[in-house]
Amino acid sequence: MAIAAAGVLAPAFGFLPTLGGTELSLDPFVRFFTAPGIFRAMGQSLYVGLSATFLAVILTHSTLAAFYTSRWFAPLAWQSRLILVAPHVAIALSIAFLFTPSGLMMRWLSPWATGWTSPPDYLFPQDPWGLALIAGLAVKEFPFLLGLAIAQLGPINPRPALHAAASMGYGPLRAFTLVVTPQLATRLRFPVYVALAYAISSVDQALVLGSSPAPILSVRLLQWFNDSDLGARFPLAAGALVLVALTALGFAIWWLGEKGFAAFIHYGAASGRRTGPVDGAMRTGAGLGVLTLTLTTTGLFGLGLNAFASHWRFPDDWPGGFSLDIFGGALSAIAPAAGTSAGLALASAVVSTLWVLAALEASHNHRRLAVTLHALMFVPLVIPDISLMFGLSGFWAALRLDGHWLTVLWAHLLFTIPYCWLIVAGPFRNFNEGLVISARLLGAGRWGAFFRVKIPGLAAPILAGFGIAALVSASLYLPTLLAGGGRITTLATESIALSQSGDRRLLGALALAMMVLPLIAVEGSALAPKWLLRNRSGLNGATA
Amino acid sequence: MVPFWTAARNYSLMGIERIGRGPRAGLGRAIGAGIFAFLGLVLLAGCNPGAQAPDKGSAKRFPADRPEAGWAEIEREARGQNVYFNAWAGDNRVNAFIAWSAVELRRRHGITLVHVKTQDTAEAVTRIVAEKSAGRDRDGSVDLVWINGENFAALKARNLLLGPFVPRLPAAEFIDFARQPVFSSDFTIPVEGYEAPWGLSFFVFTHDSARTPAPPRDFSELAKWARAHPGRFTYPAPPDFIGSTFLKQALLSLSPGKADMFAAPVKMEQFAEISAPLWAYLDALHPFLWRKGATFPANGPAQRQLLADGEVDLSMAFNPSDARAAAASGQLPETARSYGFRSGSVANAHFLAIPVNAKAREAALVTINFMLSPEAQARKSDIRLWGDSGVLAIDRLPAAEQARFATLAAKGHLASAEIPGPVLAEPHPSWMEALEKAWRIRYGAN
Repeated sequence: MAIAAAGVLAPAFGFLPTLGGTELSLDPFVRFFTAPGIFRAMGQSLYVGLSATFLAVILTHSTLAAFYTSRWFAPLAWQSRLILVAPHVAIALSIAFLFTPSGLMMRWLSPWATGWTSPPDYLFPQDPWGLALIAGLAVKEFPFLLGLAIAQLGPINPRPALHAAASMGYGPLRAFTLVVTPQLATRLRFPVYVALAYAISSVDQALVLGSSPAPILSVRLLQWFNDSDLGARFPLAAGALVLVALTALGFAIWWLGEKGFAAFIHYGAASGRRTGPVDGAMRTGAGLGVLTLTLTTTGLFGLGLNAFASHWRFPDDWPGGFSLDIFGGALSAIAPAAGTSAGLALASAVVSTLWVLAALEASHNHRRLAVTLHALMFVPLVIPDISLMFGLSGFWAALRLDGHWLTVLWAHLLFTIPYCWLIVAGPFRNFNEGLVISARLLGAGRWGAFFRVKIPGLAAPILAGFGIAALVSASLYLPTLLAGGGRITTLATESIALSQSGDRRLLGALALAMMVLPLIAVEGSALAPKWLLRNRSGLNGATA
Repeated sequence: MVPFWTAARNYSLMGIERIGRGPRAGLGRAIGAGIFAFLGLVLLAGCNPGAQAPDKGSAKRFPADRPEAGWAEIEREARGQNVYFNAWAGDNRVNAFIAWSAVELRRRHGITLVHVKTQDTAEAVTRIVAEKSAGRDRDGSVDLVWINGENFAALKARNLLLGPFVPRLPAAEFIDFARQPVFSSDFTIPVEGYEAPWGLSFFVFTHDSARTPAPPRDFSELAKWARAHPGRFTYPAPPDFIGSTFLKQALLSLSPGKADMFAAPVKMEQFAEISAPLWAYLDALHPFLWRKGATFPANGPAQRQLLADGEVDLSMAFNPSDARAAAASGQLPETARSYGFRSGSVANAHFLAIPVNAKAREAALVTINFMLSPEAQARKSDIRLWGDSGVLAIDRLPAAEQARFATLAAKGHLASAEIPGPVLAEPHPSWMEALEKAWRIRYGAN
C-alpha cells in the first residue's frame, strides 16, 4: 500500500528520475487541470458513479421489498446471480447489443412495428449523457447488492417484524420499507460505498458504453498511460490522485444524501400513515428492477446467440443460419487465457480464504489489531483501482517484476482478500463462541476447536468468500494488464483486447466462455456447503 | 481418518498459536512480519527470472549481436527462447494467423511465440521507451513488434531498434524490393534493414453492392453522397490507424500538388494553411455522418461490423481483399465489394521489427524469417484465413513454392497484390501526428 502511495505521489509532484523529473513541483497538476475537457471528464465520472449507485440501491431495496415474500423471488434471485457472474464487459456488450439502433430490440420491432428496414440513427450506447454507462454500471451493481442483501436478511430475520407490522394494518410493501429496509441499509452501507467507488473509477465498461470523444476520467488516465510520450506519466499521476479525491467527494455527497433519505423515511414512519408516496416509488422501482433483470438476461442470451450464428442481419429477428465455426475458433483461441484465469482464480481464492481466516482468528480478542486490519482491508476497495495500480506498476516495472505470474497474483490478492473479508468477517465475528468454549471444555485444543467446530460452522460464508474471491479474480482487468505487463493474458484482458475487433459473433462466444468459470465458482460455492455438511444436519444451511 | 489439520497443528501453525497467547503487541508484529514475509517471497520469486539476465559484458556471445554469426548458429541459439510478439489484436483473422505461426514455430524451431495483444502499437512503443529509460538494456519485455509509420519513426529516431537485420535473413532474398518502393521507405523514413516488410496495404472502401450499387469514388462524390444519405457514413476515430489514414487520404486529395511538402517533416506554420481545405471539408461532412459525428467507431473492424449490421453503407480497410475475406467468414454478404478511390489511395507496407533491448533476439530473427517464408506468406494471402497481400516476388521463387500461390489463385483465394487505382504516397509521419492532434482538438474530447 505504501509502495502504491509512493508510486503515485512521487510523479504527481514531478519526481520521476528516469524521465528527467528530479525536482518537486506542482507542474503535473497544472498539466492535468489544463488538459482539454478535463473538468467535464471529472464531472462525468462523479455524476455517472453517483447516478449508477443510486439507481442500483433503489432497485435493490424496492425489488426486495416487493418480492421478498413472493414466489417470484427465486427466479429473480437466479437471474441476479447470472448477471453477477457475467463479467462487466459481457454485460456492457449485451446492453450495447440490446439497445443499439441495429440491436436486438430494434430487430424484434422492425420492420413490423417501426417500418424500418435499415437501422435508425440514434446515439446509444456511447451517448454524451452517459446514460448507457449508468445503465451498465447499475445493472452490474444491482445483483451485487441484491446478493449481499439476501445474505443479510437471514440474521435480520424479517418475518416476525413483518407480521407485526401487517397486524397493525401496514401493507406488505410499506411494512418492509419501514421495518426492514432501514436495518438492511445499515448493513449494506459499506458494500454500497464499495460499489460507489467502483462506479466512479470503472474502466472496462466505460470503454464499451462510455462516450468515446468525451471519455470519463478513468479512461483519460488509461489513455495517458498508453501515450507514447512518457511525459504523460506526470499528469497521469496527478490525475490518479484527483480520482481519489473525486471518490472522496462522491462519498461525502452520498453520505449527505443518506442523511436526507433517512430523515425522509423517518418522517414517513412517524406520520403513522398506512400508505404514502413512497409506496408508489417502491412499486415503480421494483418494476424497474424486474425489467432490468429480464432485459439484461435477454441481452446476454442475444449476445450469446451471436456465437452460433453464421450471419444475422438487420432486421431479421433471428440469425439467418447457424454454425459452430466462430464458437469453436474462439474457444481454441482463448483456451490458454482460460487456463491462466482458472489458475489465478483458484490461487487467489485459496490464498485469500486462508489469509482471511488466519487474520480473523489471530485478531480475535485483539480489538485494536482487529480494527486496524478491518480498516486496512477496505483501502483497496474504496481507492480507485486505477490509482492503486498505476502507483504499483511503476514499482513493479522498476524491479522488473511485471510480467510474472506471481506479480499478477499479488495484484489480484489486493482485491480478492478484501472481498473475501467482506463476506467472511461478519459471520466470523457473530459466531456463537459458546460452541468453541464447549469444544475446549470437551478437551479440544485451540486449533482443534477452530478446525473442527468453527470452520464447519462457518462453512457457508467461508465458501461464499472463496467463491467471491475467485469471481473477483476472474473479472480483474486493469490489475492483470498492468501487473502482467501485457504478457499474462486472462479471459478478462483477452475479451477487452478482442472486444475492439467488433465481430459480434466472436464477442458472443467470448462472453459465453467468460461466464462459465465464474458460474462454476459461484454455483459451486453455493452448493458445496450442502454436500460438505450432509452429515451435520443441524448446520445444513443454518448459517447465512 | 486423521484430519489433515492435526498435522498442520503440530507443524506450520504452531508458531502463530504460541504467539497468540503472548502479549498483543507481539501478535501484531507477528502478523505484520507474516505479511511482509509473504510479500518478500512474492518479490523474490518474481525477481528470479530478471536475475537470470546476462550482464552487458557477456552480450557479445549472443549470435544476434555478432554480424559474422551464421544463420545456423542463430537458429541453434533461438531454440527454447520465448518471443513476446506485440501485435495489434483488433482482427481475429490476424490473431488466428499468429496462433497458427506459434504452433509451427514451436514444432519446427522450438520457439514459444506469445502474442501480446495490443489495441494500438503505440502501447508497445511506450513500453519499449519506458523500459529502456529505466535501464533495461538486454531483457526488455518486447521481443518482436508489428509496426510501421510513426511508431517505426519514433523507435528508429531514438535508436531503439535492432539492426540492420533484414540482410541476415535467408528469406529476405525473395522480398520484392524492386517493384515495391514502400518496402524500403516507410512513411518516407528509410527502412535501412531495421524492419522487415511483412505485408502490403492499400486503403480501400468496402460496400454491399446489393444495398449500395453506386458508392462514391472520390472525395467530392463522397460529400454529395453523404448529404444525400445522412447517417450512412462514418470513419474510425483517429488515432486509430484506419481513421488517421482516412484523414491523410483526404488531405492528400484535397491539397494536391504538394507532394514534396508532404515528404518532409511538417512545419507548423504551413500546417494550418495546407490543412484548411481538409477541415472545411470535414466541417461540412460531419453533420451528415453516422450519429451526426457525435461518436465514431473504435477502429476499422468495428466499422465493418456496422456495415454488417446495416448501420452504415461504407466501411474502410487497409486491405484490397477486405470484402472477399469478410464474405468468406460470413460477416459480410457475398455481394460485398472493396474498391479504391479514383482520386488515389494511400498505399503502405507493414513490417516486423525487433527492439534493441529484446531478450529473445535470435528467436525473434527466426520468427521473422518464418513469417517471410513462402509457406507463411501464402497462408497469410489466403482470403479464407487472413487475406493480406504478400511481400514476395512470386516469379523469383522456386517452382514448387510458386505452385502454392498458383493453386490459391486458381481457386480464387489469393489476396490480390494488384493495386486497384492510383497510389498516394504516405506523407512524413509528423503529418499524421499533426493531423491526429488537430482532429482531437476540433472534434475530440472537449
